[in-house]
Amino acid sequence: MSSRRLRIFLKQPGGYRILAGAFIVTVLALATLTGRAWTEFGPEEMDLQALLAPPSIGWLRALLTTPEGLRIQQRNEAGRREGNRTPRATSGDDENLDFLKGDDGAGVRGRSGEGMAAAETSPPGNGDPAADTKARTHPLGTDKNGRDMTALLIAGARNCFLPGLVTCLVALGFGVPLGLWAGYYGGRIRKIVGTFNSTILSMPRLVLILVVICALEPNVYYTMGVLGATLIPRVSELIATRVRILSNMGFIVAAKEAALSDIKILWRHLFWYQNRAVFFIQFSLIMAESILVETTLSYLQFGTKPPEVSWGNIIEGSQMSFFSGFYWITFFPAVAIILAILGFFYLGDGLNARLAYREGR
Amino acid sequence: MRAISKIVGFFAGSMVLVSLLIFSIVHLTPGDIAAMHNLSPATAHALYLDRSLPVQYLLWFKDCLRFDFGISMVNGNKVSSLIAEYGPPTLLLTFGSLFFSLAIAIPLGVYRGLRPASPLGKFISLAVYTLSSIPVFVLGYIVLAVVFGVFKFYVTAPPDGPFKFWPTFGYYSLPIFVLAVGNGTIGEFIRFISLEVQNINGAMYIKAARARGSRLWRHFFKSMVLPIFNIVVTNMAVLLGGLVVVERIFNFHGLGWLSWEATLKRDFSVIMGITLVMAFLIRAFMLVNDLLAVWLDPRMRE
Repeated sequence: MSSRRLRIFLKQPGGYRILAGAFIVTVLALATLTGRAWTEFGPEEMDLQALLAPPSIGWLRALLTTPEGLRIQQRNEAGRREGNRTPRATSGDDENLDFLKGDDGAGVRGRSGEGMAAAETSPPGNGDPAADTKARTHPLGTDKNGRDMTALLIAGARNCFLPGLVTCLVALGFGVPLGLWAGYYGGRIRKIVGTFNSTILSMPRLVLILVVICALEPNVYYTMGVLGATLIPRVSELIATRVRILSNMGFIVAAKEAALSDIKILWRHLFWYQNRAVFFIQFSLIMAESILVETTLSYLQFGTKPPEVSWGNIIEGSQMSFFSGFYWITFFPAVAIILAILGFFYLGDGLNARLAYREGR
Repeated sequence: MRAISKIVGFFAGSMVLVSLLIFSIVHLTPGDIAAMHNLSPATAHALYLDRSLPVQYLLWFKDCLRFDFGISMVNGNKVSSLIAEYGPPTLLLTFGSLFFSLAIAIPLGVYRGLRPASPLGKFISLAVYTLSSIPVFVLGYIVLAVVFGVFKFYVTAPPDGPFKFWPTFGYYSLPIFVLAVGNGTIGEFIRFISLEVQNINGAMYIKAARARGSRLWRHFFKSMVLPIFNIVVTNMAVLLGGLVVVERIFNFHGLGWLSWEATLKRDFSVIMGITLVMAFLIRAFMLVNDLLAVWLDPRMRE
């Protein structure tokens, strides 16, 4: 997109909100799809040499010293070409380097690049490579079991994104057809949906979900499906109201005159051409709500259970760590939760503002 | 009169539906409740677990009408006395945070509605969006961390003895604040009130009043009472849902905490009782709202 078109996009109502929301949602989706590839540690791996390691900017330092590292690398290569031996090599340091190679994996840059380049011929004898490596591999620190916080956060992203998709699938998959039907044909189904809605609305949603959990002890996907079921009436009422107005308009009357089948009118003309924006807006808002409920339930020990990782359950598991100075264990999940909900909320709300603007409301 | 009887009938009907829903969630799911808790035959009989399901429902519902929700499956306490014991602090918390959020939201909402494009109005909008996305438990943590880390004054034990202002206020202030701000209750109030003020501000009768030079706030006040009550009723369910989390964070022994513990121990009669009481509270608010609408707005009387 050229910068001029971007500026026009941003100037219309909700532009900044859509952009910010879409950015956060994209990051979340990437973390869900390619999670394991981003970190050197898996979420279940325990680095026993770095329990409760604080977040470090070692990786940042490594990034910043890249030019110098490159220079050293070039010098080492030049030295290799000349004599293929260095006076500093000792066998003890070789073991040290094997540890460094195994730990660092492929993601080494900068100063460790120097080490890797030199490793083919000789180890660098200076500094403490182990400490440096540790600092680089846990950018957000570790928890009390030595698990990498970055890996935990990414695993948590998957465990709130996928249950959220289940919620959306149930809420929209049932709510949209029901709303189309109720709006187009009217009559009894509208009354049933209305009654169901008012019954659901007269109970706190979280408490209703607690009743279901109490009765079934289900896993988190099942619970989020129940959340989706409680959202069906909201979606279907919204769609039904819009469809009721639309179905008296000229283009629907014309489609009926042209003897299009009801399925085709409902699906193509009423849903796809007129209501798909509402569909995506609701998708986004429901995702925000389901992340909120999922993290809350995990915090209350009813959602994602401990061996699996969820942001809510990280905070629950290390409740008091904040007060004993290990702030990073609860701080980063809390920020992740707020950002994720904010992202979906901004996206949905911005799209809503854009839709209202387009429809001239 | 016909409108009123219709509203009351709707209230009764929806309470029956709610109780039916709760009952069927608990009892239509697989698993033998009596075997799960190793209940003695006498307890199972007291909870009507030895009857057929329809009879069981009718007997349970009849008892609920007399504020008797059976006995706890874990320790045999009467559920109604549990609720009577844990209820009052929760009511104080709920209404406290309701009034707190209204006290904050009405001035800000009116300001934003009157001057939406001013810098402060824009700042309020941004704050509203951000607040709506903070879950209660995260906010509770932030507040606790700030208060414990910086001020070190929070009273963690419930005050006992005769009522004194300071310890009681110190104990309730933080949960009230967290419940009001978290889950976006204040944000929702501000957004709704400012929209409503914008609408009223553009209405013809306000223009006429302005042209006459009469006092505007009276007209605003009259048209704002019903919408504000409306949004309070709509948010009641969100507020009561937030209770579970707030009471868990602050270790506040109320209905939310009780329902959390009941879910953990799978104490069916307790959680059914609490849910029914909460639904009754919300429905009663809706009833008052509808009656108020009929009283204030003659168009609703047909």
